[in-house]
Amino acid sequence: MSPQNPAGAQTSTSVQIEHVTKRFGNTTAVNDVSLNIKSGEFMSLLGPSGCGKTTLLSMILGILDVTDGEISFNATRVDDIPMHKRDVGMVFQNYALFPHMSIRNNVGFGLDMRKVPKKEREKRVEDALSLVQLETLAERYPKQLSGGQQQRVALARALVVRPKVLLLDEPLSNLDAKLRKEMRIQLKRLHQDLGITTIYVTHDQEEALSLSTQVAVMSQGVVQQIGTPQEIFLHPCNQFVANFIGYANFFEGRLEGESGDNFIFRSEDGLVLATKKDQAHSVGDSVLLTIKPENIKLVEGLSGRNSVGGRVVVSDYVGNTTGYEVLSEFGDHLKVNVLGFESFPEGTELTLYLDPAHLLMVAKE
Amino acid sequence: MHAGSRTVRTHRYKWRQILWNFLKALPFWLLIGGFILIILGMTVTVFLSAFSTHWFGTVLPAGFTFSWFTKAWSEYDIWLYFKLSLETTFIATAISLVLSVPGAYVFARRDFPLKSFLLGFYQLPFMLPELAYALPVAAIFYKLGLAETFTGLIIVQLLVGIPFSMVILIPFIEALDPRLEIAAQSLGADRLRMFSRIVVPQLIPGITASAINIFIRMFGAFVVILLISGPKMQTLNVMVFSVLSATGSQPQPMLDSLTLSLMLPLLLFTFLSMWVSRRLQRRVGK
Amino acid sequence: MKADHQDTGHFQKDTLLLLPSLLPLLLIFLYPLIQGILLTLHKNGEAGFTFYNYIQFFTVRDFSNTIFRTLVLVIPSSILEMTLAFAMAYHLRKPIRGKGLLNGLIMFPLTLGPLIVAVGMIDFFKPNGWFNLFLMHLGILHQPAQLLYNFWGTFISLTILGVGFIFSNLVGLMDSIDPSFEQAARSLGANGFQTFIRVFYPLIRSGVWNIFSLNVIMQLAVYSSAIIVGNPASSTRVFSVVAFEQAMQYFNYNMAETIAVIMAAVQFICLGVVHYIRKKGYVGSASTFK
Repeated sequence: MSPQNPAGAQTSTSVQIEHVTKRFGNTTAVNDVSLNIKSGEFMSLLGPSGCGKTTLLSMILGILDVTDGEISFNATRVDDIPMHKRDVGMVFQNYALFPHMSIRNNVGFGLDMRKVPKKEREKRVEDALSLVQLETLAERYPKQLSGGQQQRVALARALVVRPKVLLLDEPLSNLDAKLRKEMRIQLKRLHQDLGITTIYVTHDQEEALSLSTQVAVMSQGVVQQIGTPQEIFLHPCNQFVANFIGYANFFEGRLEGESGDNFIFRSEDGLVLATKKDQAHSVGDSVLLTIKPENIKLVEGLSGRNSVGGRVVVSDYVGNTTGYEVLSEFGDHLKVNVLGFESFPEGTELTLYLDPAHLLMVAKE
Repeated sequence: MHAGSRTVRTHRYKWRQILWNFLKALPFWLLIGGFILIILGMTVTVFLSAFSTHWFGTVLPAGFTFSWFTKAWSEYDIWLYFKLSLETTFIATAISLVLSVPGAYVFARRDFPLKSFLLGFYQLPFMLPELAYALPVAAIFYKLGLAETFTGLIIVQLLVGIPFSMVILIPFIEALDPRLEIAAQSLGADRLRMFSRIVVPQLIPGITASAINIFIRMFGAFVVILLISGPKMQTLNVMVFSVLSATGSQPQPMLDSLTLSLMLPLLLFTFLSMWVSRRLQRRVGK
Repeated sequence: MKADHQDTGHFQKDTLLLLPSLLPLLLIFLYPLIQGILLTLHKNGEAGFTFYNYIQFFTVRDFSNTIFRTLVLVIPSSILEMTLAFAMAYHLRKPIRGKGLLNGLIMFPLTLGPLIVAVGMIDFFKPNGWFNLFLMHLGILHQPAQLLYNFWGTFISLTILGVGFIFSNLVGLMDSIDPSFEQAARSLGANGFQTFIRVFYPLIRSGVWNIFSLNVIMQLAVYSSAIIVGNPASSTRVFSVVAFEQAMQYFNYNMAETIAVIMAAVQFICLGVVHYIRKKGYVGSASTFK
């Protein structure tokens, strides 16, 4: 651990969320969610807006009370202690930097509340600011800082009190695309250096996959899938998760037979595809087959196995890739992404190849 | 066992929390409740007293009657003052709006030298004691023969009307999308047509809401009117004030009937204003 | 505004649109105001310039006492109003069912105006009215409190109206504070009191003082409640009472205007003091963006 690390002492806090439910009147925002976050983990809560991820975060922070269930840090229950005694660091979406305080006093606020002696306070504020490379701006006010700088101040302010857990609520969503990528890398480095247990709320799958050690995908108040970024990306457990992380083509149908390593699948429209066998399914099952746009290839010539003819309806050229919407001979609208600088105009007849290795069977929603 | 002890702790915590929150909130609720009770009490007693036969030292009046109310209306010619108040206020509201809309537009859309100084000037009537300019206005009006006339009443209403209209109209116009005006001009509308076909129609909801507020404000205007009004050229509230301040010779139910006549239109306009602003908010999609 | 690229030709023509509203105001506001100030420099009915009226004001007890009487009425009631309205507005910030109705009722006296409030007070606070009956029934009072036709009558009337005014403004002010500031303070370990003192109050203090001074301006001009529920002969003989008396009974507009000008001066001194207090602290917007 580097000596300038303001989050020095406490880094080993695990978070247990057990059967937590939050109801507002008749609507259930969070429904029986259980998560076990190991100490030092970077857990992302990923989902569309309104899925309950921010509500869950608010309950961990203490803005909201749980309706049911328990939240514990290191097996000590916290959902019944007031917010200001929970020792949780929070970075708000709008940063919530106190506009009437200098950067130094913003960062020092939490230390003042903990009655840290003056000398130590100064040193820790200094360390926290240097951690986010803002030592030179200590006397400025939040308004005089750019969005990226404000975001770093918010991070320093949350970390300087050595919180048990760091919570981040879409901290990058107010930054422009380029800065967002930079801050993502900084955030990742910071987590690697400090090893603080982190819970990160986002709707951006790229952010979640790149930053996290664990991802929990949420929808309608329920956790759909928990896993490492690789697990989520390669093996989405159901249609929602698959759709959310970029599987755009879905075929509904039945497994009609098998051939060697493959099942033979027939869609309701009559499309026949071979797909890799797995343990979970057997012949006769109704399944949902899915594939990513970038895993569909264009082939020339006659249609063989797993290939479909179609006509380009829309072509969307964005430089190094082109996105197509293709109307297949079976009446499906397929989304296809093709790497390369050339592009086919609308109306072109194409043959598409759906690699059995990339076709995935998922549960219907 | 383990789970059981946890539940007990939670219950104790919740029970203490609820008690603590209740105790913390109690003084606030007593304060709010007490204040509202006084206001409701005052309003209700005016109503009850205006329609009571006798009311002396009991919780409720001895009996109810309309006779005070009708007597007040006939004896004090309330209808006359009522009509005069409505007429002058209505005309003055319309004039204030017509005069203020162009200026408010300029303030909302353009930058010009002395802008903040001029804006301050429009707000000056609110920052100075009304008497400071009402007294010389009265002196001048008496010299010119405008005092105790219908025209005079309307003119002094503008003292409140124009600055007040400006203050409420400017934010309304600032909230309009200037790109619509640029679009209209790019489509060939000249400035007059741009103003009358694009700006004014968009403003109508805002103007309606402002008009009601200006109307309420003017209906309550008092100081200047008291100074320039004669016995027959009075607004309703000046008349009521004269009766109230004269002596205690009138029976209380009579005074309450007068006050009620002043209160009912105000209540009506307030509900109207609330209704309009709620509808507006719905239209804006808030 | 930034979308406009105005050439100066249009710019000047547009400014002319100010005239319809500006000219009438110059005529019926600014011109009389200047005339009024000149009035104060003449003795009633005489031509020569003189400070007679001002000397009269400060030497005749009946005139000069109005300053003291008005301030004794207005400053304590304004402080009380701010305290009460602040407590109510702060408490009603949370989402509560029926909040709109409660807000409306607290602001209701503002709609009614001083005249109706005064009459309502006569009915409600009279010795055998509901207020006294209720308190005597509870045993808090043994004989009716005299709350009308004296200092307290005007004081109560000012308080009822002032609470409505300050409350209506505070609601808007407090709504403009982003709740995440307070949440941030709490998450950093501040308890409710510390959050209020170190974060919430500093963010609204400038606005609070503004509202306070607007209310003082309004209340220094107190008139109808001083007449109807006060004692205009002695304890509520405030600026306006004496000024109206000079104008309407003695037709001495010069003296009346002098009193009005001194009232304006007192008001500006009050504003100056409030502004001085207000300036010592953060002045600015409390929203996170823009």
